[in-house]
Amino acid sequence: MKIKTTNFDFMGIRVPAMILSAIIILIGLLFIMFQGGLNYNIEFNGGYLMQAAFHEKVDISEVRSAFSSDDFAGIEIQEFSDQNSERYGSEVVLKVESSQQDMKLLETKIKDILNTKFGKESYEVRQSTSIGPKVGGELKSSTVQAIIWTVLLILIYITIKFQFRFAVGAVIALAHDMMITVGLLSILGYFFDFEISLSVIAALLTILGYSLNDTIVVYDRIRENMTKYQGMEFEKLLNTSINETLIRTLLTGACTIIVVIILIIFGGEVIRQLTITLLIGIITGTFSSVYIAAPVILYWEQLMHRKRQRQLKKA
Amino acid sequence: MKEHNNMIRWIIFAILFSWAIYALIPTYQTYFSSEKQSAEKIRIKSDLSKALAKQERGEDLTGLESNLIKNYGEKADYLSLAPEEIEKLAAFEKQNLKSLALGLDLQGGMHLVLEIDYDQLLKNKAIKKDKQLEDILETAKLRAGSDKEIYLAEVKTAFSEKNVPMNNYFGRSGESDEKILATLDSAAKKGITTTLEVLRNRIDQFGIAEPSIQPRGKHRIVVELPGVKDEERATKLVNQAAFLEFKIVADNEILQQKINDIDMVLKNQNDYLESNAISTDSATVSKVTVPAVTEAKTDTAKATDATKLFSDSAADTTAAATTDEELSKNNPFKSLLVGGQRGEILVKGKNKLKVEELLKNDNVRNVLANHEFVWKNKPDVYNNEEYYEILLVDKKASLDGTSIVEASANLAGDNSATGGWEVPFELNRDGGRVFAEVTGKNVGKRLAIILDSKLYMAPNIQVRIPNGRGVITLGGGTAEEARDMAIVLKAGALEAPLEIMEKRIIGPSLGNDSIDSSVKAALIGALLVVIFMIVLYKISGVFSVIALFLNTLFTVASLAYFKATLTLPGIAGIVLSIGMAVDANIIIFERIKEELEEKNTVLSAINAGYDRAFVTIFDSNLTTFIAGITLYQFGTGPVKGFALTLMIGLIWNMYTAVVMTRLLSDLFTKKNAKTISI
Repeated sequence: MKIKTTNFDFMGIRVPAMILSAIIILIGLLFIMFQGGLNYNIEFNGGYLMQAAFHEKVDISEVRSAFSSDDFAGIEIQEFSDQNSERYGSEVVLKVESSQQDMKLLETKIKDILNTKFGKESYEVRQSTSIGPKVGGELKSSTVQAIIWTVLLILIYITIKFQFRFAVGAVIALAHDMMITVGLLSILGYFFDFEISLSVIAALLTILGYSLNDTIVVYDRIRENMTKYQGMEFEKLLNTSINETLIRTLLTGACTIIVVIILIIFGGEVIRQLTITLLIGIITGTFSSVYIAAPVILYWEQLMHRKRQRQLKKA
Repeated sequence: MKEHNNMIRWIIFAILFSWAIYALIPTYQTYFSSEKQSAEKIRIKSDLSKALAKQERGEDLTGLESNLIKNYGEKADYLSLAPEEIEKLAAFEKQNLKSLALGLDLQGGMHLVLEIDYDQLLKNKAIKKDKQLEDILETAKLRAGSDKEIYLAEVKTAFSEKNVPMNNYFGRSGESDEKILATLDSAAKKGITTTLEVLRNRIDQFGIAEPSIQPRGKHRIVVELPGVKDEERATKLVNQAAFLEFKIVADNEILQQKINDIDMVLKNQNDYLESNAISTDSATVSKVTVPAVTEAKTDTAKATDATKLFSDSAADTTAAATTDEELSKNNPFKSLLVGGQRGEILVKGKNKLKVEELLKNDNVRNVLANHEFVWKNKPDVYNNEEYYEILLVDKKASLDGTSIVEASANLAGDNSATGGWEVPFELNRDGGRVFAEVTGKNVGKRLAIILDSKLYMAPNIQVRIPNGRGVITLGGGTAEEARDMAIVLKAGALEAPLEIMEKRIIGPSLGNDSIDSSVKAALIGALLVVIFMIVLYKISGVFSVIALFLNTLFTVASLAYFKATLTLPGIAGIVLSIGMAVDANIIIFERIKEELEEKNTVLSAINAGYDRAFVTIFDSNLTTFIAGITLYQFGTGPVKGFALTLMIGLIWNMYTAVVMTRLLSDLFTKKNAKTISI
């Protein structure tokens, strides 16, 4: 298959592209604010979750009414289904988000109700998780730490291998990817049940790596062309570099997106949050290496140019 | 020259490939081969014969063993093991150890994060327990938050703020705060090592295949129990303090005296509160009006406690007759007690909390002085109502369970009065000597056997017991209960109490489903990638597919070889590194295509393509690797697994995508080739 090197004017439409990004980020932020912060799951907030599969079909309202007493204030009961659910009559997820309650007691109470109302043999616990509030708090701080260290190390590496302005561009592109992804997740969380879990954090950090990977490929070509086409106007040089790497960017993006979509469809409910986050991140990561990482170096170049001229005038 | 280099590269590849196959053979045989089933059968046979032999010798059986006997015991053909079968099993077992282990999320099981409860540890160590100590520890706990490092320092500050010397509660009198602190600190440090040891002992005896008990940081322990079915029992086994004490039961006269005294202080306290409620004057009057039954000063906090308590009891008895009300007013404690058939003292189930609250009162504690009330472990049921027995015993234990060397579960014989399960135990020589002394001195009295502050039994001491042997009867418990009790008694007590921070249970069916769906997803994904690459790059595409396959093979082999555990996020990590590997090949091939337009020969284009692409691939893989390192460093459990496979995959990616595809393409590209299938 022969694909000719393209010649799009990417830098020419950088402003509309960046405005589009800004709008998406803004909507995401509005959703986050509207919902009073991010929608963390029990791994961060502490709480109890049980996924129970009934062998016979059970009406969800029946389960809800079984847990209607004050002891279970704040319990969320939802029907659950994935490709394995057909083996069972019905599957439900019971969830209590709380950092205050005595988890052990709560667990016993929930099981007592299930045993007395439905019978001990009528259901099977597919999984259960109980997390103390302390663990959740630590998780948040260690995640923040992980992100800060990643960004710091990458800044250092790119500064050494390229130039400082490249590092700044890469980090801004990363911040952009994180903001768009988290914002979109928040919108998803508003319409569907999507919470920030440990696996979402893992996915976010993977996006960090992937998006960087993409950015570095473009940067590498820019660096190469800076020696190859000395004296070329910088904006044009960026365009050439992006066009030269465009086929690779699109093919890799397409291939990875195919794999991730397969994982979303066939990978099962357990890793779905991870894979959906990956999908969003990979798309934005591909976008940002072209429209964010490259323009930042351009703006930096222009800024430096003006500064130099001002200094020349003074002299 | 190049030929020579390639020769070396092929040799290196051959070595790596054989290593990978070698590393994966045990995994293949464990999970896929037909040997798996036959080995399993032999293993059951061997375990069963061991269990039966043990049963014959009258030894204590683990859960696995008794289950085996229950399930297969009658099948005689399981009993004899042929020598070649033993050999086969040994070989299989050896391989099993080397095979890739599946994480709990894939095979099901229980994951527990436990933390040493320092607060409780200090409470246990304290020689005197009262409200003031609780207040001080509570302050320290709040200030230290989740930071265990500073907890002890905060305790010291809290003590000095209240101007209370620590030796009031810990160590010997006159001992300096610093010295006490150092002792407590070393007790805490020792706590984690001894706790690990005790837990290992308990879990080994419980009979769980391949458990993992690891310390995390300085204060936490992570316990992973694959395939656990009865999680409640397992949790209890891990979490139970199992502190056994023997205490002499107080004489009846003392008991009556104490009950009356308690009633008196409670009544006085009550009267004072009532009068105080009328009088607008508060603190100054109190010292005059409160009769000096005790030296304790009633501060406002206690006063509110007591009011709450009595308003509760009043509310409870409103329905009752006036005489009852009168009784409860004059005898706030006695009125809650009921006499049992054997002369024991009982408390109605609904009054249990109330009595517990009463006994916590500092004035009552002072009255009890060297004695304390203990609660029976289980309620007795009369006329469909639950009654708990309470018993007055010496506060100081005559002996504790640390000297137990042997304990087992037994079905009580016919001559036993109660029947049901019992746990005979044996003390070591020193323990036996103390036991003999205590029983010798107290013939005619009763000895209370108390486990984790719960009374199990209080038999009469008829004669001095010289051999350090005793029996705890459970009175109608289950076999499992008896067995678990024997395990915890033998394995020893947890000196430092544990708090469950995190508990995850994955049912075996969910684990299986996860394997099924992730394998399916990985296969479909891989197939699409193969089609994608071959359509795009033809023969070169085939090379890259081979490289992808090798990448996965090497990654999984590394996991198996270094005994890492494959988890669900780990599989996601492998898939992601496959994505990165594809990217590396695309970068190379696109570069070669570009070079083909500029260079004259195919060979020079390939050379230039690989050389240039290498820089890019190295940079991009390294930055992702950096992200992997921080993920591994700061992530917990599942995230760590993901980061590990991602990093391993990236390292192999550098080799397979850059070196292997080139070796393959060199093999098929003639020196003066004019075209290339790309």
